[in-house]
Amino acid sequence: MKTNELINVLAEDSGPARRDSLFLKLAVAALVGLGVGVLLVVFIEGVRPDFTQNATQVALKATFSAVFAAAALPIAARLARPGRSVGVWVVAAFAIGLVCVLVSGFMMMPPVENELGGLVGGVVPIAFLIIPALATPAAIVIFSWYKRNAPTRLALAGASVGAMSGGLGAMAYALVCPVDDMGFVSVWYGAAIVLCTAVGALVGPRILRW
Amino acid sequence: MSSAIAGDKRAYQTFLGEVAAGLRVFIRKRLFVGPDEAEDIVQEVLLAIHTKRHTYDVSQPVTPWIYAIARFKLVDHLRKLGRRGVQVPVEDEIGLFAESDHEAGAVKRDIERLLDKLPRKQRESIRMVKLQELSVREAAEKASMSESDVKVSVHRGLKTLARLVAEDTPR
Repeated sequence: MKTNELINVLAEDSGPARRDSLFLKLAVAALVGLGVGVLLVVFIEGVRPDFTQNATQVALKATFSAVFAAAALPIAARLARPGRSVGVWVVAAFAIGLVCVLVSGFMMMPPVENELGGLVGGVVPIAFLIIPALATPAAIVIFSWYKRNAPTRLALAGASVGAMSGGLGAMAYALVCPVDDMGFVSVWYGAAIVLCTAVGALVGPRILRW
Repeated sequence: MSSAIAGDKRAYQTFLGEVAAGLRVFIRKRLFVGPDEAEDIVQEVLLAIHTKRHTYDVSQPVTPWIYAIARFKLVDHLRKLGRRGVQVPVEDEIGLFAESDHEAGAVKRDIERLLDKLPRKQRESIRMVKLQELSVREAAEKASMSESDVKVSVHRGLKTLARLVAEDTPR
């Protein structure tokens, strides 16, 4: 096809473009992803039996997780446009935030578990495995929305989507998680979100290409 | 592009035509390819611009948006070539990210848009002294203004421009 013909076809097809905010659309995708995660966890595990007595702790854990998802949201929305990147300082701030959470959580843990051996040699808690699993539906929803846009920094975009999904998965898991110790939560929720971010950065360049 | 997004077909057609011309130069400068292959890439970029037009933020200049898409598609093209077994030296890919004269030309169009917002005296002074690189004396003679008047106009105009650009740039 001649380029001029293509241009005519495209112009005929034009019509007003959708102009709603990418940020809002991404937020909606995130909510859908969260919804699927919550349904999944409630369906499989059921809400923890002592939910009503411990609503405050659950809310605290959910908020902790929501902070990560909320922090990654504007970054992901920005990266959805071509030619947009984020400064090194944004990535650094996010990384430093995560490290602080991990370290402070590590120090808050009960003394026995505070031994390095308790962490490294011990059994990996189920939270660390379930959170990424619950993040997967959220990641699928967000990635498939994201593909309709035009990110040009695919690894960064993938990482931001991974961090969002990780935060959302952790929010869903907070409904069933029986442990209320914030040290545990900081370390293992944090580690799970780090894992999700890393996976996102790895798969981003593969699945976000357009 | 702004009126194109609003649904003006004629404006969109003209816009795409200009973009295509710019892209041809952009691609031929970066790849040693025949006109047919270059045209394929041009069409692919045009198509991407069309299907991804909702990602253009109307508060931003359009040039960086277009060339970000063009670069992305160009690298994508090279990657496909690589998969087919054609050797693509890495240095070429790095060259893709370098600024080019052509892009500077397109940026100039954005500058013209900003300049239009200035009062006439400041606009003309900046155009003569900064864009056409006349001396202050030449500019003053041409516009029958005093030299200090030209200098002050340039200075004030640049200040306003800096503010306009800062307002245009997202935080």
